[in-house]
Amino acid sequence: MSRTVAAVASLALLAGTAACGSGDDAPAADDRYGHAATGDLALTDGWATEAPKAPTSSGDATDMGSTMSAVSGAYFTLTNDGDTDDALVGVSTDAASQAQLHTTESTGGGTGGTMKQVARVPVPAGKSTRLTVGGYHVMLISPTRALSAGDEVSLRLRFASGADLDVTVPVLDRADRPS
Amino acid sequence: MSPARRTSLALAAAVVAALALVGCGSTTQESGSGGSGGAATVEGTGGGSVADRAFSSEPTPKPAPAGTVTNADGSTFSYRSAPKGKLTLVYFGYTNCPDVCPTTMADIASALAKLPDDVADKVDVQLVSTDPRRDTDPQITQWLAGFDPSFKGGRAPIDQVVTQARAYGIGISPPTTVKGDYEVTHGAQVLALAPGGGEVGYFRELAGPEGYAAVLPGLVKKWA
Repeated sequence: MSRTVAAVASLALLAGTAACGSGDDAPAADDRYGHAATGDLALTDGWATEAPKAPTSSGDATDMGSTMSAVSGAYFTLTNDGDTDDALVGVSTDAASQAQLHTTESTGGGTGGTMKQVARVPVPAGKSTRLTVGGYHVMLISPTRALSAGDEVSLRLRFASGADLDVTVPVLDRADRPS
Repeated sequence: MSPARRTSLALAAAVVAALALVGCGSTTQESGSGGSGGAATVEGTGGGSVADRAFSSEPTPKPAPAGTVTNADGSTFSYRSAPKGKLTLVYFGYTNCPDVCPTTMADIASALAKLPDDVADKVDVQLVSTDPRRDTDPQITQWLAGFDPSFKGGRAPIDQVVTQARAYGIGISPPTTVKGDYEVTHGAQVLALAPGGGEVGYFRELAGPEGYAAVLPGLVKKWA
């Protein structure tokens, strides 16, 4: 009993410390999602969607005529606490044969949408950029293994400033994505 | 350990907890809207804003276009024959889509799983492929099964699909190849069709599981 009480006390203390510690503008890192930081750059709320493994028989990734749907999306929030604008310019991973930066553009006067590959995702000085459903996202094309909830995906993000950021993000059921 | 000591520990815990709450309270208030209602009002029932944000009703049902879709399971879906006793949700999308399309399907599935059976059983979900050249029957079946095996999905020639979608105001286009990239469009909204295919309204883009869950019971009661 007393051990429980003590545990409750420590938990309360920890919760208090964690919640109150984030006095600055940096987003609080939520351990349910991937997070990492380097220099002035921080990544929070990182996650990837479930996807089947790509069939090995498919040759050209751009000719998906005969392949099963095998593509995952990776999402996160990037915060730049520095004084210089930066941009995400590339992602590499061993979990997929290709990782591309995409955005979903509105079409048909807002009644439709289409994906466009982009060369960079801006992360302006002092601002956060959220990669989220319906906006910027990382497309993980032809996963090298099946990605299921509970798995993890390692990503290396490359920035225009030359910074690299390594992060491991959980694969989540879409229902469990950050709100 | 004596009861007295236990009490003092409990007190200590309470004090620590209270301190933690007080310490963070100011932060919470700073970031809060400061309104008197708070979150409880926002989430409230009866024409609440969750439903309003999720769904746009048509003043009068928009008539169904002609046309059919051949489903992956061999059945035929006809807009004008949208089944009696059901509300049919129609989404124009494609399976090689990592972002909006699967999220839309997942959110509908998540809402239906939470709703009572007498509501969920009266909701049909119909995917109409905007990439019929690449969306094979097995691919559609496998993709939908990842969300809810009762969801149906199928194809028609792309020009017919574009015409069907535009009749309901969904501005999709046939896939095009731009600078080597194969670009496919998907609908932003999910149509709610009454029996006979009249569109009674649409779910806004990324309405979210809460949005579907808030709106579907009323739609089913009124139209199915």
